[in-house]
Amino acid sequence: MSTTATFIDENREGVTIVYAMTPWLIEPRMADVLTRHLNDLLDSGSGRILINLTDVSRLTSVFIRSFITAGKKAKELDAQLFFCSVAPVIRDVFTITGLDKIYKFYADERSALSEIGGE
Amino acid sequence: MKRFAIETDARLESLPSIAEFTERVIMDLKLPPEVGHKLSLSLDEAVNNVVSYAYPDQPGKMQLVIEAEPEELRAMLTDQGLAFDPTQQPTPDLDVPIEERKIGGLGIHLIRKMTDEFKYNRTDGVNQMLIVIRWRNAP
Repeated sequence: MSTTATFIDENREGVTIVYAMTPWLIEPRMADVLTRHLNDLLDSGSGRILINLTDVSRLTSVFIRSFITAGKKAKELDAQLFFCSVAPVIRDVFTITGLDKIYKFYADERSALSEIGGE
Repeated sequence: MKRFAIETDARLESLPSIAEFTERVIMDLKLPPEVGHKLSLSLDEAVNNVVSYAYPDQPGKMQLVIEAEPEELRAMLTDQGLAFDPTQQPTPDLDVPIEERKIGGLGIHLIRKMTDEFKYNRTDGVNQMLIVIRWRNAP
């Protein structure tokens, strides 16, 4: 299993979509990469960020910390984070850590963009 | 009973090999997906705690032993690092707004929620963290 964290961005319908290309999001240093990546996106003016976790099968609390840190910054900048394509076992992690009450989740990218997309 | 064991350096670089070890155990035992997820997540969190905090000043080792009964898993994670009782850590407040959320304590909270027993013991300078997961096989 790869130990390299890869995140790819794409802008569509006014939304920055971040794809996590690493199936196991478990390492603190990977989480630091994601935190910096999300911070950079927010600093560069991305107002709506959709994080697509379709390829993720394992996720630990160090990444939940990244999402909390990014959420705090997004709040300061009046930006928003959303999630889509989250497997049930990964959704459990969000639920147990209370992030399901903070962020909105969509079944897939299309349903997310139909609601939050648009220039 | 079936027994699986691994010993490795307690450092961040060991996280993938421990995670792959857990994955092999899950596959070998053909665990139900939700049980496999409980085991992998609770051990990912426990191991991350050891590699991050047990040996701040010098290298050290950790040992993981998983014993499998038909409807019970017992995982014992051992290290010889600093004393730290995770079972005594407070539960994070999950109901506050994002700007007030603390980022600490979430891993231990996940272990508590994913396991049926979560115990800590320290004897003769050795930390032992026990995780027990039970389930019922379909009739």
